[in-house]
Amino acid sequence: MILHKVASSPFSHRALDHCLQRIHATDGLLLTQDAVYGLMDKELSTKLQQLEAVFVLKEDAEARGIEIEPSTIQLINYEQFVELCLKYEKVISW
Amino acid sequence: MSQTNKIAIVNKSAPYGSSNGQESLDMALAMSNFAQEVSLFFIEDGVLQLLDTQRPTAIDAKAYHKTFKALEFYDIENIYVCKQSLAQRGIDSSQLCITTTLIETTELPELLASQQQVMCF
Amino acid sequence: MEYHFEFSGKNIATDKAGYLLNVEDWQTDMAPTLAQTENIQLTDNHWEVVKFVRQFYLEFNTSPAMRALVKAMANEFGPEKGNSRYLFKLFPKGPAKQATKIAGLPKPAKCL
Repeated sequence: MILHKVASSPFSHRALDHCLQRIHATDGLLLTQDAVYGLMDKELSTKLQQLEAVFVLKEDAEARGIEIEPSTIQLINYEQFVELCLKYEKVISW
Repeated sequence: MSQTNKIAIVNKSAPYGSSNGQESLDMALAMSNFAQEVSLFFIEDGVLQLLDTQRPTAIDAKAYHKTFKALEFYDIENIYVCKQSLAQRGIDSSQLCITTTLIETTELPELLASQQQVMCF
Repeated sequence: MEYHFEFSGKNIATDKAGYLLNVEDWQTDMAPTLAQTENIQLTDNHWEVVKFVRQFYLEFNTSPAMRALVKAMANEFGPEKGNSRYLFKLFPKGPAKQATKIAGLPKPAKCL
């Protein structure tokens, strides 16, 4: 089980796209910093819903004015971020 | 600088991933003090700087988007926002913190051509 | 080198030029003390400007530079107060510089 961490905006960078092409169904995806803007893209949002575990750093979403509708996407704080890194065996920062 | 120049500042970065947005705004305010005619352009991820509901204190960043509302006092009235960039991000112009002029992607080259200087952040 | 002064038993940090480092450290009673360092005796007209720049900062998150101060003052109080002659009479060494200092705000950015 791998936690995939993406921090760049999917509108300006390909990191999230590259990650989604290679993520395993049981892996976790964590969106931090500018990557939270990905939730504004409908098509991308739909893709994310199909993954088993998608996490979004709450502070980063709030700072950027991104509202997250109740869905399979889980909002986490910094403490839970640390816990996630320990729970998954490996972490890939894209 | 005694003569008035037409200067365009093009913003294409998201607000907190880099300091581009804050620096660009500082530059715009400083130049308006020297009576330069400044126009602001927001394209691609730059449009995200204008979202009204931001709360950057959550990540200990400065809420500089509040300063956009003061631009009128600095005589910066030409503020252009790319329509396609908004649509791509699912943003309606009513979600922006200031009133702007919406432009098509294809209108940008013409508008930039009429400027003496262009700076990109 | 760190700069500070004592006020009501509290240590208030400033920059080299005497501008408060933390906007929240300011309180109304502090204004006369800060004004003294600029050789200004606060009158009602001074207070009006000091409170105005403070409000400007809290609303827009930036200290107004001269042009913006004049324009915003004219907008709020009319042209007889929104002009540089009136403001320079109150704050001879630069209205934006002095009023923001007395209001506990950072110095307005002017030059790069």
